[in-house]
Amino acid sequence: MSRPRAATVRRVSQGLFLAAFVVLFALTVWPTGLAAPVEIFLQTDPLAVLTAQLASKVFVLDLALLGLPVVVLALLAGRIYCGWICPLGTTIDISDRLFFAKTRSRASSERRRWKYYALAAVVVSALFGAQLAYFMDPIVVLTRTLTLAVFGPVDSAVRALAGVGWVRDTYTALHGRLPFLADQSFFPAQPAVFRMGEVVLAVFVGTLALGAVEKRFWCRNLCPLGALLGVISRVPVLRRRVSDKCTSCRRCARDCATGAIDGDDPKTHRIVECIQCYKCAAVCPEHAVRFLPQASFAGREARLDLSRRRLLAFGAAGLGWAAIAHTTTAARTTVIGNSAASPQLIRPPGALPEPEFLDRCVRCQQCVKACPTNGLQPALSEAGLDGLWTPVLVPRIGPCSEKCNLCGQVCPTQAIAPIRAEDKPAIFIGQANIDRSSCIVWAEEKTCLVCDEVCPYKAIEWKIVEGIKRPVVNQHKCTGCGECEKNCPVQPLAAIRVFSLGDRRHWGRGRQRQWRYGIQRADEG
Amino acid sequence: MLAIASGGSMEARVRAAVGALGGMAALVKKGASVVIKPNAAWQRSPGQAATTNPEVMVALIKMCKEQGAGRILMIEHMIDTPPRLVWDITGLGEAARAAGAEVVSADDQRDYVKLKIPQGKALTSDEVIQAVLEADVFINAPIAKVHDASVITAAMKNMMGVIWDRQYWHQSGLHQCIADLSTAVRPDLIILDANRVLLTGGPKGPGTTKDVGEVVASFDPVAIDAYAATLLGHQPQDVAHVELAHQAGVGEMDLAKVQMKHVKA
Repeated sequence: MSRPRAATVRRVSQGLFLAAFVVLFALTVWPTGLAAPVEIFLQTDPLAVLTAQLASKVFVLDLALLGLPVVVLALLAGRIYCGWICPLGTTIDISDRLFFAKTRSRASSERRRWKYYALAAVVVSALFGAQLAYFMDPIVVLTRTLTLAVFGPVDSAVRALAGVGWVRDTYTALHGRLPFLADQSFFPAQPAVFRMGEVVLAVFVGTLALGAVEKRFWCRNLCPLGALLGVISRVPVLRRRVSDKCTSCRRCARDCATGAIDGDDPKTHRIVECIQCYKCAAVCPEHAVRFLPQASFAGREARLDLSRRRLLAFGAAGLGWAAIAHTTTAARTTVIGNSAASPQLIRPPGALPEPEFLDRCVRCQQCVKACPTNGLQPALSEAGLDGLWTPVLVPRIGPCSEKCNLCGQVCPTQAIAPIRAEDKPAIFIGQANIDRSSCIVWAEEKTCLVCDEVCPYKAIEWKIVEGIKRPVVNQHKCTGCGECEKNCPVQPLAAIRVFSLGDRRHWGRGRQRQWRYGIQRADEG
Repeated sequence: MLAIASGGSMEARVRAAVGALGGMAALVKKGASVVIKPNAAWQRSPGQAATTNPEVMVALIKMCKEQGAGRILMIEHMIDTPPRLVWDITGLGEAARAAGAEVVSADDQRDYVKLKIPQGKALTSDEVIQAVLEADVFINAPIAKVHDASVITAAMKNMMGVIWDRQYWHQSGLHQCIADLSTAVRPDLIILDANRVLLTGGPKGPGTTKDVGEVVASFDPVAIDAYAATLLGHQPQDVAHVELAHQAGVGEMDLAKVQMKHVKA
């Protein structure tokens, strides 16, 4: 058996998983997002999904079970996920190879412990009800970066290309139709725009740039998912074994991707740091290294070897984060149950009540990517510090489209429930307000009924004041979708604006419906 | 002249109405490029009568194909987003593609060109979809609906979907702008879908619908809109843009002076 081939198989596996990740990302659009399992990478990520459930104290069995295969895989083959599957790991490998080929691989340093401390902070924070995994979970980081920092520029590039005369003509000649943008197969109608793209990109580039210090710096030292898989698989079944043929030439130690092999004793290695890349087996001139299922219990090699004091300190930091997160403005609710954080805090339809939503949303931006009107954007300050990057609807960019329920379909943690599109008239996410000082009908007596025209729920009604029909909002019908604000001709601030005032997420669907129809019946009677 | 077809299938009505007007052969030459503009502004299904019925669209595409037309585009600058959803829900996208037309959502400002409107009172120029102006044959295929802002929407109001900046129209007098554009962009054929019309809650609905069972064909946008007004419970003079376009000499709003040809499909 020629073992060196395992490294090739691994590369193919990495390539396939990365390709699958990118394809599923691209498919997160209407309507393919409903058919393809676009959220599968996030859902099978045990860290993101389990901490989200832990933090919100709501367990969904299906979701918990989806994380299981990766856990079982870890029990069998250690951190094979990191070496063979993780799309961020693969991206880092590619970046290391392209830009940091000269970086010498070194034995793991003290820094390798950081990731366990980070994990401690994440878990403790989740135990006390604040979600922190979103910040460093690798699948979340990659999904977020692709959405906010990559998708927009790619979209613009494709548009620019489609606008070039000969490209357009060639495409039309080949496909018998106008360029791909025309039917919005993969790109939105208007050029995609996202907040925070620069920040997210800077963080991501910084992560890759750490390759100058150590290869796979992120995976070795920072990744909390890697730490979790390492903790789970302290003694995996499949382990590295070095036969007596070893001459202690230390080539394996030199080439180890995560510095798991100690240069002084290449026969042993830190099992929890090994990502099963099989490079050591490939480079061994004596073919002394093999990865075999082993029944014996490893001793010293499997120790995490952490500082208890540090662990406690980071755990306390997690607790501190949870405490602070729960005392930001977002935690205060007004009399009618709204979050007091910002009147602009308009959540997508089906979003859980605000406290649960914050704990459950992993900020992966899948919903933001999927939103066909581009109206969903990552929050800056609307939801307070604890709500950074959570999705908010910005109606002026795009409204919540009446027949669309894609955000709830693609949400990996069900922070946005998968609602039925036909229920949307009874799901109140906000309420429109008419600013009579700038509305051209109220202030200038012009004929404009755009808000009424575009309202899917017939919530704009007409009141005759001084002989002229003027628009008013029926709050029992207005769901806060923002079609009116989006289309209002008044510039720059629309004369009809949606605020979170009408947000009734804390009400059950039944009660929302009852309120809506109960009032209507009273009107009729 | 108005050709009003009733009875039979929707396709038969379209064929009968166009036939009574002189037939498609007089209009579409071999290899001619055709642009058809339906009303596909909203995420509404065909039964809700807020968008042009796909069967009308398919009939038109077929008839153009039979005359050996070249490229046939169905173009709309819709209001609801995303366009893909609108094409799906209205049933127009799938139907038109299957019939052999290209489906285009005019969402890119680069697809528009500035058009001078010499007779315009509120508009002296506007950005209009280039393909509409360059087509050998341009067919306007609206549906008849009441409209909260413009009283009714039929042929002339449907043309609001071939310009880029609709907000400007609202700010500078909707009716005058509708009439102004009708002086500059004149469809080669107008097919009004009055199979089922929307009587309340227009333009988007949902509202009360009425099965009129007619397809109307004409070359005169004013006459066809005046007739549409009567179908919707209004008088032509109730609709300011009909009156303004009539005054500008675009067409005839007095139905007593318009030749009406009723045909059975």
